[in-house]
Amino acid sequence: MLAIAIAAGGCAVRQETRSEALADAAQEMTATAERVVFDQERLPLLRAAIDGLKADLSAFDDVMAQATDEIHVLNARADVTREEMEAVLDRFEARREQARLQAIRRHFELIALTDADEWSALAPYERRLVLAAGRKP
Amino acid sequence: MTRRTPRRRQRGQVLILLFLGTLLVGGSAASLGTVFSDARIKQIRASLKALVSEEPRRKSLDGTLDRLHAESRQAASIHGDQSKKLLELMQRHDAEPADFDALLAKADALTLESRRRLLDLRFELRQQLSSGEWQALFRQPGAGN
Repeated sequence: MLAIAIAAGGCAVRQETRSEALADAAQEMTATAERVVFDQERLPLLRAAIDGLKADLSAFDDVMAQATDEIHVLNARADVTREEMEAVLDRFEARREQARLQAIRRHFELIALTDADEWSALAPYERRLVLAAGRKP
Repeated sequence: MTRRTPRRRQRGQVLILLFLGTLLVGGSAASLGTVFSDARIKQIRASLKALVSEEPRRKSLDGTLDRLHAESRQAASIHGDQSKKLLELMQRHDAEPADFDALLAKADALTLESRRRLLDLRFELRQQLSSGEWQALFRQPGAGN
């Protein structure tokens, strides 16, 4: 969904921000879960897992933004050594690895809480959630 | 009201996949790739024209930039590909953790290789320029003189 900003002298369309996109996708995924999952024991667990995935993806983007800034600053230094750059990239890789493990774990939590039919209704929203995390802040 | 053309939309999707790649696949190579994105390479080329007047040296720098550009695009394309495969896997209810492990292991190996090649080229470019020229090309906003 696009957020519409009316500017003086005309109207412009602005793309929704990452946090708006994440919130929208999570909200629609939850609404879909409420529509297709009738088991009242699994539903609250599903809601919590969706919120958890949204929080995990949001937290990783901050790590990514920080690492990218750091790499740009290092690259700008004429005297930076390859070892210094490798060290920053290795540190980023380690944090990414942790975040990825968490995201994949969360995915399997969702899978375990659904059957194949329920998942076919929910999967497009997980995809949207993951893609939303890739937007600019 | 502006509308995005299908081509722009497609390009946007590729960029999103590249960015997504940094979490699931792509990692540090994709992050490093932002230093040598299409737009940055274009800016660097324009700045080099003003900065380096000797034709042979500029030609040699252009050659290195061509290879950096090609490598950066190749990395983006590989990571976009891996991201698509991963998204397809996530849609399947019957996919097992082992399916993810296999795909991610392959993606990680490609990431390390891309990162190594990008760093090789970054340091090759650095060797072709003086410290002052390098700083003029890559000075960070707000970093002072």
